[in-house]
Amino acid sequence: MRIARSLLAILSVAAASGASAQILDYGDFEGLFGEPVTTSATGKPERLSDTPATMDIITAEQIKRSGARDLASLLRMLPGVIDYRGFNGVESFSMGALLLNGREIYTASFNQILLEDLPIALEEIRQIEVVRGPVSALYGFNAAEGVINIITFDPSKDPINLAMGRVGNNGRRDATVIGTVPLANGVGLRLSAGGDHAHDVGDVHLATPQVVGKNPERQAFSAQLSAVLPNGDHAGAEVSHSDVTVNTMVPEVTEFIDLRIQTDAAKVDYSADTAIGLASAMVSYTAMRVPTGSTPASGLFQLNDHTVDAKATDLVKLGISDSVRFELEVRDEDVHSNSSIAPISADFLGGSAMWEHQFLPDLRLVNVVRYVHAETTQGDTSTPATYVHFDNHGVSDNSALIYRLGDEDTLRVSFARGLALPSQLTFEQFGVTANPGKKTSLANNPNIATSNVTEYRLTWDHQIEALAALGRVSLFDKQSGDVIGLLPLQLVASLTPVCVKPPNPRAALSCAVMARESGLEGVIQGVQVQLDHASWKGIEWGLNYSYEQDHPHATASSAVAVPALLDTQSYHKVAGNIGYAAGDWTFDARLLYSSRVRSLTLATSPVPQVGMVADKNIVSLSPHISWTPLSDLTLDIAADNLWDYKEDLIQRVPTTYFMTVKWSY
Amino acid sequence: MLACLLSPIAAGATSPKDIKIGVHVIDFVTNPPAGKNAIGVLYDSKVKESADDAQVILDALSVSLPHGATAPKPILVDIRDLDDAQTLRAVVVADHMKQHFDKVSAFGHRTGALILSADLECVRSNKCTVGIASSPRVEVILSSKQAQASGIQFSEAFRMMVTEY
Repeated sequence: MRIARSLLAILSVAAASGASAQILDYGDFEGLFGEPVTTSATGKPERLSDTPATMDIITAEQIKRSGARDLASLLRMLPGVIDYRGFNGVESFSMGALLLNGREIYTASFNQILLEDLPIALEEIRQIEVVRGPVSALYGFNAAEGVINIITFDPSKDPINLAMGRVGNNGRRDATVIGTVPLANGVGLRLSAGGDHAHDVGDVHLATPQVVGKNPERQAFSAQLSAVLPNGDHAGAEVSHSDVTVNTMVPEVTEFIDLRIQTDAAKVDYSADTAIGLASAMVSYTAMRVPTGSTPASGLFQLNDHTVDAKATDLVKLGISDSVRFELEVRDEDVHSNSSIAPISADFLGGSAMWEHQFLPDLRLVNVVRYVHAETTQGDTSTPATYVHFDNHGVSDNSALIYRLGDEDTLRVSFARGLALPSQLTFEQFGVTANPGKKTSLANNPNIATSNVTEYRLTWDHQIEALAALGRVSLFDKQSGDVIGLLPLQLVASLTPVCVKPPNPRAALSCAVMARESGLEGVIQGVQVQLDHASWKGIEWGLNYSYEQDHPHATASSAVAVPALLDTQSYHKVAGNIGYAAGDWTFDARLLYSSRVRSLTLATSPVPQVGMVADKNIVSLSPHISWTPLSDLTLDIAADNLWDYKEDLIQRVPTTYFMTVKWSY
Repeated sequence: MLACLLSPIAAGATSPKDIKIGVHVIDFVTNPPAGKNAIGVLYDSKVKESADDAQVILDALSVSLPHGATAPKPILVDIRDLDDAQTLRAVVVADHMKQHFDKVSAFGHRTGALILSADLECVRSNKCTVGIASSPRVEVILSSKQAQASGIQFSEAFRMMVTEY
């Protein structure tokens, strides 16, 4: 009821705005400035080269030339994405929040992002915007590590009509059909439907009676309506359905899980250029159902998860030097699961403010602050033994200074503090809560408190005209505190008796992964160097290098169990792409090197032992050849990971070959 | 003063790419004047460089502007004939027109025409409405005083993405 009242209040704010005007149009502004534009960095429209945040944009052309089959393959090429290596393209992605046209793609029950749950095809994407570092001041609790905002083509202006089929090894069979219907002048509707299938070869098979979906499957449908009204306002609506079967990991308890997830989502938005600025409102609803799920700890389970989110924003330029933005957001999440003692609900109320001041034409300061209040409840007061209620609140903030030093150089200095909340998983979704009566949880920090990430970053961009390239050096220092995921190993063994002597490898792994990031906080210092979008004699290429040094701090119990947890670790990653176009042909390749990563694991033979295990260095080459014999027909041949590698005890990244036929109609 | 010294933008002859950007800028005016469809290329017929630049602008406009019966038509306008050109929706000021900036500005105030120029000094001195530069980086600068005096309004998003003076 409270949520309903809040929604009405937000919608009334939007309705109160009289309107005339023109709203942000990605295509128009990109045509004007000759570079991508975005609102992801501050909530304000900006050119990519003007954003105060350090960010990357993957354009539609880059997606096309990459030959990538999925979002995972694209994201892993970005600098700074070190922990993410890939697993059939279906594993969770834990680098911040994932948004589709502003709607969050997030499974609250598992506190993670399933990339496969994205209900659209890559061909519908105009650009993928990735902001590095905490941005929860703009996007709320889930964006403590950054944000990925996927912007699709506007069906009222950019019609896409495409049929695509793909076959490959390991039983790969994908098909997608996209069609755009112009309904009236300025009104367009895009429909897309697709299905993917492959045999599961990435999961190292472990004996279990509870596997519900061995092969990764995905079916998705989406519809997007966009209307530019006669007065210049914009109205949009999106509905989608996806049905995904994955074998994945739950980050908070690092537990292996087999899932079939069916997700229905709807979103409406309205924006107008009004007398009080650029006003917009958005309401989204996401219903996620797990008809069959399985974990070693809890066995088979079913789950329903409903999320309603509503936000209203107003963005206005005051005078010639100041812009301000205000946002109010309400969010309600409810989870019902047969593995829980009682249903769980979480209510969020947040407000944020952004202020940008331009001191000089080339010097700007941006500040963003957000306050969020969250109430998480399990059960009700009529059953005190199972009733749990927590209030959380906190402030996150971002400050950045951007200074253009002449025609070719830009300097960014930023400070960001992001907050993350424990998820509903905290409340024993999988039966791992230690003692609900004492309001403690095994799967999370015992006080159900917010964790925080603080980052200082210095970034220097240099335009290299001779190469038509952007050179970038970015230095950062990131500190994490009160990290979610405190799970001393002794507790695993004492509270989950099966972990004292796991009866089979899968159970042993389950115990290991449950403890895997237990009680770790720390400081990460790193540097990212990149040279992007370079062009030389018809050859397109880009290269980036990332280095990070982690200085972890473990809780006392974790450190006693595994002293090596405290060791400093270093990571290196090099990612590059090169391509050449000749007539109807394009030749491209992606190269990735990632140094070994040590992780906590459990040896199972001859007796269970806990320790740090380092995997191998990874070198991955993914070539792609494309031929366009007719203007509306394209044939692609591509390979992912020419050199198969095993990532850890339970995941292997296989070599995949596939051929794609695309017909634009 | 400091802002001007720090700015990377320099004045110079107009390039076809400048014109392409300028034509795009016209689309972001939210209150276009009714009944005015011509785009004037303003030059000084007594200065060869100005006349030459005007021809470059005219040629570029012919390519950049949409075609059709209702499409805007580019025409050459000598600064001495400016008072007779009352139906202009926008004016592109050619190079070497600095001595006429006051007259150009007054014309904008009087008729509500959008004044575009690749000479960014014209905008910084609040005599032209929008300044455009395409190299080395696309720059669009806006004189809010000239726009306000001419009754011209731009979309909020556009104002946030350009530099205002």
